[in-house]
Amino acid sequence: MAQAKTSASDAAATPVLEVRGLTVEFPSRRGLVVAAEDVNLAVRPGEILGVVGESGAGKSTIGNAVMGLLEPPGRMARGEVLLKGERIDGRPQAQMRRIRGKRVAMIFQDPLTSLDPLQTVGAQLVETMLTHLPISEAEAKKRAIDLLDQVGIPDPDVRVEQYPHQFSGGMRQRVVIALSLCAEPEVIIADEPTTALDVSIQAQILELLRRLVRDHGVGMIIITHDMGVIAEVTDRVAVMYRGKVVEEGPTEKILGYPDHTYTRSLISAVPRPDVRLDRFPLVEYIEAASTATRKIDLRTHWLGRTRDFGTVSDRALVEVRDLSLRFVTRRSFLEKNRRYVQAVDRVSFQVRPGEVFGLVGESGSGKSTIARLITGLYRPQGGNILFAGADLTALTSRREVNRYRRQMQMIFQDPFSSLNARFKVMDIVAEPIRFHKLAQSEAEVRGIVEDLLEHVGLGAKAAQKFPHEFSGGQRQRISIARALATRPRFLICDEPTSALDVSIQAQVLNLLKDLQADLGLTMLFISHDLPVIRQMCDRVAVMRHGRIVEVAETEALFETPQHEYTRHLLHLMPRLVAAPPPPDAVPEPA
Amino acid sequence: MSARPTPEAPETGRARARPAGLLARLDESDLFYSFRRSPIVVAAAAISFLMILAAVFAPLVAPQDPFDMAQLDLLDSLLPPVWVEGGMWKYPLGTDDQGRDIFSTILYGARISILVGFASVAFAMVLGIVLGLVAGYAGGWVDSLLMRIADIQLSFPAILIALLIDGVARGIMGNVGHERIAFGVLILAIGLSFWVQYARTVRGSVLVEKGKEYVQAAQVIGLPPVLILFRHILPNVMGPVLVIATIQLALAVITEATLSFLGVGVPPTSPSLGTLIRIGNDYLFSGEWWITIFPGAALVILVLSVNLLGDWLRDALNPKLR
Amino acid sequence: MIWFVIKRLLQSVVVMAVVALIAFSMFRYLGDPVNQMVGVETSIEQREALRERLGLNEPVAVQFWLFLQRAAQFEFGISYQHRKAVSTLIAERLPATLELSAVSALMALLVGIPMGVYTALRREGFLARAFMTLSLIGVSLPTFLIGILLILFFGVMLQWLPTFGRGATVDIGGWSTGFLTADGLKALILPAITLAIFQMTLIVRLIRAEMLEVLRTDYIKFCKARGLKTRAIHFKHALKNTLVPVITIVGLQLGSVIAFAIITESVFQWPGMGLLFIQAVTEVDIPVMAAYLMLIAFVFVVINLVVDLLYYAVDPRLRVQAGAKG
Repeated sequence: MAQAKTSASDAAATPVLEVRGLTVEFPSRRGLVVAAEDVNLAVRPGEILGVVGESGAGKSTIGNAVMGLLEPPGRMARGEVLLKGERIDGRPQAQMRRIRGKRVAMIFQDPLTSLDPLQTVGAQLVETMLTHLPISEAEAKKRAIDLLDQVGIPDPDVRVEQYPHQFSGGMRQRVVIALSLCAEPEVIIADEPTTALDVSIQAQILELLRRLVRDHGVGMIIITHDMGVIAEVTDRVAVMYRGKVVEEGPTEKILGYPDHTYTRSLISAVPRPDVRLDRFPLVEYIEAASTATRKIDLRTHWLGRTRDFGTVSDRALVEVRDLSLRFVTRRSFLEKNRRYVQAVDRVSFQVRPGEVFGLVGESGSGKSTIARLITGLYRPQGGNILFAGADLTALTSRREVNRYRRQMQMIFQDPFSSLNARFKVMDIVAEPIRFHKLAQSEAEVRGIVEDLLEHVGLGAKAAQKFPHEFSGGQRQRISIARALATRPRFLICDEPTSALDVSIQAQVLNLLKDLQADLGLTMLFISHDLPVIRQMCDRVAVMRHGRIVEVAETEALFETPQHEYTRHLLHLMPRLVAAPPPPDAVPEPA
Repeated sequence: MSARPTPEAPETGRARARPAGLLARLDESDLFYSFRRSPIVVAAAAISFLMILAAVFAPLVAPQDPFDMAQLDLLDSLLPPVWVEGGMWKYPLGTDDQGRDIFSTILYGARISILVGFASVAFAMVLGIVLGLVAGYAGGWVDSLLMRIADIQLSFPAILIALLIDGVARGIMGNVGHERIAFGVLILAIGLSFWVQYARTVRGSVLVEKGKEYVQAAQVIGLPPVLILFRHILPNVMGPVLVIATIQLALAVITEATLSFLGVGVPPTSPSLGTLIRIGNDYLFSGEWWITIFPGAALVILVLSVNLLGDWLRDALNPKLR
Repeated sequence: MIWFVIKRLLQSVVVMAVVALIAFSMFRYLGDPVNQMVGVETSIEQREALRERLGLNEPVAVQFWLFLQRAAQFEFGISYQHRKAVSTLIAERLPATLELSAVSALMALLVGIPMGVYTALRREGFLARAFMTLSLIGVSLPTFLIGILLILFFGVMLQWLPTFGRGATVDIGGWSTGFLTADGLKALILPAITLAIFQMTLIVRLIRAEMLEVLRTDYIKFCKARGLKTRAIHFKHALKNTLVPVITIVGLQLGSVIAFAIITESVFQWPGMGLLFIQAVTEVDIPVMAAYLMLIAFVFVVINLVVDLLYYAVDPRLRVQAGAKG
């Protein structure tokens, strides 16, 4: 879609909004933090400019600086913001207020918290219009309904009287967009407008934004971390790295022939949906910690030793039969008033020894619930879980349960909450070894932990630090080390990289691939991200509403999807158009 | 300097080396930084510390033992403070009707006030934490029952509940028997009327922490619930508990003083600050204001400093407030 | 809606039943009620007759049932100390307490809410900081000490205002009011201020904290980004959202005014229920204690109910079930 350039952007060559030499500083007690440095951007009417970068790149700061909404103590140290050639930065708040919403509008990331919960959608629209436009309340009301219709909300005359909580997430984001359109602004700044939404909703919202820009001839800046979004809707893109714009140009050019090393490694780190690569191409330029640590020969090490689990049939290490679980969503004394959601609905599948089995689906499809059922965090209401031939649901004694638990471990999604902030890394990783008494002495425990930390690329010194001293990617490595510390043979990864930046994601996924191969681990890999699934998994099950709709070999699933929903998901998958294979990536022979 | 705006999650530059050693770490910590930056808080901490110290060592610090009849001189009764005409340096804050040195009675009174305050807060804290942990972790009917009780109790002011418990104790023991166990009853009464705060806060935090993945990770490792509760969850919920404990220490001292003022607190043989104010109140109209005002001032300064500390602690542990 | 009210009512009944059980146990098991009612010279037969008449020989469950029936009509027997019917005693004292509580609750709200809003909006301002310092001193001052200080200053030193009692009252249909005489109004000033100050400081701090919380939310930021007028953002969006959680706590606070009246009444010798209760506690006058407990519980239950209904009116999330999905 990126090729579909609008004629408007060619015709009106003068930018509607221009940012020149913008530098934003945050004074802090540990010195001055420069969030954005010498940033130059320009957006023309009818054009979508993407600002892409990983977390901490300073991209959100730019939107706030343009709007004059920097949180104190942040301040614009240098540079100017020009709206139709007129400087608007540094103006008094009263003047800025008349520009905000009227001439420059903003859309925030989370639609669930962006609306006043106590006022109807209509009241909020009308209030915004009356603030900026010389129209009567009746006219405003009519326009509100009209706007809701424009942003694709069905029955606008009914919904205009409803409160935000009566709308779903995607619909609320449409309301937010309608609010930003109230006063026919010249520029809209959208800060991660689709990050909080599911893939299918994301596609709809992006389409809506594209259409609105075309129809109203506004200039739009989309701030995002997601290369898929950039490829999907933007005309031009600026790549940010550590507060600076490292590269700027037409989207096809940047995605296809990036000049800057950072852009190149960023693009190569994005998992490819179209072909499976052996490994992610090596990502330089990003995080230092991953390289140059001592790898351990796993076959002779404690980790690889004593894997005396007994043999399993080749058919299945883990088997799930008719697994079911429902949650109560509304409690009530009366049976008929209770509401349930069937989180997992008679799900059956097998994971063969040594394979990576993927579970993919949108949020709420029940994939994470299955992980928690297998590890015993939830109790199933129906069905069986067989591990190495033993029925886990039938086990009663804690000792028996723990014997199997030790053989399966889990890596969680959120690197920030999955480590106890009060423990040192040593104690976090050593806890399973100590608890299951897997080592003879405390000295041995420490040795093992240090080896583990070396192997996951953190170095033995990491053991003496606390989790908050590490970045998200590093924490995820700690999580992996902890999971390995029981010497498991089955590893469940529940969205292990969805909270990470793409470059870090690539590193962590590479590590998981290596470990899987070296230790012969069997893996259940859960993700909402189809390209990641394609890179990681041997077989995949597609889930929807608690059921599995299709199970297939990964390549077969991507090339010849059988189920309609699978085809729908694949269709929504963002593609980096015209991205050539990265220089050092060798496509796997098909 | 790595470029990193505050609103976004730090991804880079976090893992820098830190100076070793506890003192250096303390110096680095945000908590200590915010402490050092506020002179009022430093002063409040110093005053609370000094007052507690002086009260604990009252027998060593006080010029007179007000309960030793041999040291009292009735001729010196009802003397005004030293800067008022008729005052003596021997009694800097004046004397009461028995000839007791007000300054000394304040020290001894503060001792009792602080003792009751600490003991009842400790009692409430232990009770509240345990019940809160149990309610939050167990859930189900245990949780419902405990929280129902907490709700009901919370809708009644602490002072009323303390009064009621005191009244019941008097009913059981009789007024004479009551005097012997008055301290125990008082601590029990204040503690029982304060536990709800802890229980609710701890329960709330436990529910939040329980959903976090580090707890699930511990479950997946196979740790039993008790171990998870005390090793993993408890240390993570202590922050708000500490804040409540500080603020409630101030409240407990006030409550004790109020009960003693109403005549249902500590026995008259070992007067607290509240008792002193009550006794002094009778002399207010005849002009001997110092008997009641100085113990009152001591009480307010103590409570105010502790409250200041509590306020600071709450803001410092809740960074989004800054 | 109907279900919601019924559920709340049921909960209230349960609370009242629990409190009644406590009151009943106090009545029944703390000392022997018969011994308290009769003199030394009463014969054993007479005692037994009284015991029979009071129903003390019935099974405990029946006694509780009888107690509930009498409690519903506010019959709590004879005060051990005053030798009068408890209901009469309380009826005499109720107007004094209610007038005092109502006036100070009103004062606390009328001063506390604007001050709380002001300190939240002008966080760094000089006046806001002064208010916050004052409120911290306010929460650190025990109610009784405030009373004593006021008495010392306005009563003893300036001799402007009376320091004890209600002054002259007018009897209107069994309700003795102090509102109608200058004397009565003057007598009300110091106790009302004493009682109001502590509540007021709590309300200021509460409103400020909640409002700051709301001002940090995304929707307020979005309001700013839409260029809405600051006044509209503060009072239409922020204040209204602040009120949702505040209603509950302020409601409970108002209830506690009646309980804190115990202290104020004691300081000012105000002839209300609180004074009656504190005397009952020291004299172990169980019928009065039980009656006071039941009455206070009733007041709290009613306040809770009203608060819940108000909540319902203010917050559309409770009123309208989330149904429509898009």
